[in-house]
Amino acid sequence: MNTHLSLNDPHTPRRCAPPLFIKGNRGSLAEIPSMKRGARQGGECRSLSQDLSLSLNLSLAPILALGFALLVSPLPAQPVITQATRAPATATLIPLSENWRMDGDVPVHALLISLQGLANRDQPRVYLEYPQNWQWEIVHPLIGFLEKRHGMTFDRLGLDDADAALGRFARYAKGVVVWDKAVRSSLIVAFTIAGVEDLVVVNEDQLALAARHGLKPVVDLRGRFAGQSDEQIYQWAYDHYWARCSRDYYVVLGGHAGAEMQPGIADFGIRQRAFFSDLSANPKHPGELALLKKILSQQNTASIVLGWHSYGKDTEGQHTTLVGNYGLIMEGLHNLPNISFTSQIPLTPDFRFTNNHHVTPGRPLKAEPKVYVCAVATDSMGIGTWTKPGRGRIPYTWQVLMDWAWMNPPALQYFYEDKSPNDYFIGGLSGPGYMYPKAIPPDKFPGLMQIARRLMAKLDLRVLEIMDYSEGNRHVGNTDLPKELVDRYYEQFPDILGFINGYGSARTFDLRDGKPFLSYDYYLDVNRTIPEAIADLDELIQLNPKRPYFLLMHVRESNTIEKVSDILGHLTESVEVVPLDVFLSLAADAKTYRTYHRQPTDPVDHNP
Amino acid sequence: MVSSFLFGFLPPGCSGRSVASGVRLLGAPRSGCFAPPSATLAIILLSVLAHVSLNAADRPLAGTWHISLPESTELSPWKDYELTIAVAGDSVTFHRRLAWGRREFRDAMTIQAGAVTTVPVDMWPENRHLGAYISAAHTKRVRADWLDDGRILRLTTDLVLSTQQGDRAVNILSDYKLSANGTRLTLTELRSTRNRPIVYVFTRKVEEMK
Repeated sequence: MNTHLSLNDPHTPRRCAPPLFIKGNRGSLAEIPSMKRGARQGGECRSLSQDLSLSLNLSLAPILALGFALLVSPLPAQPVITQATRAPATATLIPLSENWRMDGDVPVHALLISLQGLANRDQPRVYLEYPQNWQWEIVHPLIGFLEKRHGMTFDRLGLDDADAALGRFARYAKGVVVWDKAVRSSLIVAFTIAGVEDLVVVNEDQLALAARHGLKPVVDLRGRFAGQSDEQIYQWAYDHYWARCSRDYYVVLGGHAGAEMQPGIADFGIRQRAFFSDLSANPKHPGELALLKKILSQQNTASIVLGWHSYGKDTEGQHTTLVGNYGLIMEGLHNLPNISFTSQIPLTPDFRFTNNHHVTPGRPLKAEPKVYVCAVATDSMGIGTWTKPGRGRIPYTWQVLMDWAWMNPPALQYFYEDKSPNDYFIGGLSGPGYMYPKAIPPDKFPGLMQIARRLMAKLDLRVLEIMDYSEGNRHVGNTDLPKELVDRYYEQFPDILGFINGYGSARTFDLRDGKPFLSYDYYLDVNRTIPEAIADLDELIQLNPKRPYFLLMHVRESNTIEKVSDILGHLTESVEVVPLDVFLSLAADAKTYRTYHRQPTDPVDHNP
Repeated sequence: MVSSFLFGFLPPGCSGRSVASGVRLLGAPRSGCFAPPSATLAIILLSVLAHVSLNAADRPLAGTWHISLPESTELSPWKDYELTIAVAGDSVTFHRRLAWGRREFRDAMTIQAGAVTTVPVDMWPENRHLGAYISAAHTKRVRADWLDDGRILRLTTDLVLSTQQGDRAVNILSDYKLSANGTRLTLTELRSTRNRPIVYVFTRKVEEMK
């Protein structure tokens, strides 16, 4: 049984021996769908006979179930994430414009993103250069990194040049799916169909262009959804395509709503043949919620939900809670770009993940009677201040999205190699991806944390950050963990240096066997002025008179390190700014904080 | 409405906030502002009829106020603050609505002027970005005093906040101060644990001014 689980684990891409790139496995395992399902994540280096021999270790009942599944629910072969021994020598680079309006450049971007997903199916060929103001700001630095560290050269096309792109890559598509310009959600459905049917996404204005490259309409959504609700539209998509979609990836293509769409993650979703929607997790939309539950309930345990909730329908807390209810892992950035490309790029042979550790296990530090401050930046590296001036000026802690170890290896290598001596990495968020532990069924918790442990070891991380918005957020409710859940974290991470909790301030504190469990005592809002932030921290120092006082501070992504440094330099009581491993080691030495877990009387707010 | 009606019975120069408030009218009027005997009876009669509503509505602080963010101390974690003050005799009721997008917090408290009132507290919303929470007692003690003929309401609040190191007594002085023209309310808060005052400026909600 464990063997079968490990084959299904989407978190362990396999590195194959040469040849440089392995041809996609579509078809090769299609006649044995359930085996393919097990092998499609990382099983490409494993021969079919190996898979079969492993399967023979299964008990009789699962074998019978397997056979039944073969008869009644044949899934097509689905693409694996293949990391070759080295990156390709060349790739095509296509710059994209800054316009992401549905009535602007979204149509050409949707065409190019879908073409990218298809062209990158079996090897990385297309890299889209998103505009300078793109939220994930590593798009441009990563080009330089790939050139420098992998020796890649990029052949640059013109801005939004769909004609040239189709000239090069139309051969990877079987035709086009036409979305309806009058129905926004039809584009999201078109992304599903593009992956399943190997089609490029176009609207009616682009039909002639596609035809010039030999691509004819295969599916036409024009008029199909007129007057229909999203519930009806996605139900139609479910009825027609769900059975052929991935059980390891589902894409919630939300985030920007209405007139704008930023489908940066769609290339990867198309590559993996994911089902796309922006279905709501809000109880105010019972029909959409019911369909979403139906979809999530059929995904593989510990599989991936890509994207972000719709700003127009539900809340981050509602959606991530629901995802956690099914033991799935949220990778929450709808505009995370080029993953169909970067997921196939290996680490360079000379590289291994190495953190800036300051603490030797078994040799705890001695705390002094002073105020210790630790500043932590979360919200995904790459959308914050990594590239802004000031990094390296003070000790700073950065939360690593650990699933990028297999989704985005070159980006993580870029961060690890670019770190200054003052940058320290920790794992997050609550597990292998973004998840709320209070929402995860207890029986699914150990498996997820096992994945997290493995990723932490790979990434040289010794601290886990936890966040839980299932019962509140930084405004209302609570973000604390009950003792029973804290128990489970300690049990699952016996070798950890410590845990931190919260997003805004939280109050879960503990110390066991020299391993602190601390919560944020301060959240630095982007809009907080420096004088008010100084007053805030001075007030916290006033409110906590014992020394040492451990002031853990969460820095919202867009605050610059210069601002943080300025604030800390003007406090009325001098403080010592330390990296998180030092902070935790000192907190283990002097427990001036009270043990506290979530209480039954704590306020609860389910993020309406 | 009642105040406008009353102004018609008053000698020139005797209309205005302090008279309209009903406080002086029923108490000690200013010199030279006595009405003629024939009108006085009518005024007293009407005043008696309107006594309750005058006490409630004439307090110039009464009404619904909306924060002016550019003129106020930065409000995070909130982005909106609406305050409704209702007065009934010595009783003053505050309704607060703090909001950030779809997230909002509402609370209400009724206190007695000139006395100390113990008020239940669900949550301490003033600065949710600090690791400080209402203590297990979930109460605060509030003393309220009217100053300057009802132009200022001063609250003295004692509560206990719970932090990572334990419970800490905090005192807060809050002045609700009306501008001369009655259109702006300035709330100045001095917290015993904070080095800087917090200043929130409110304007009367537009619908009330129409």
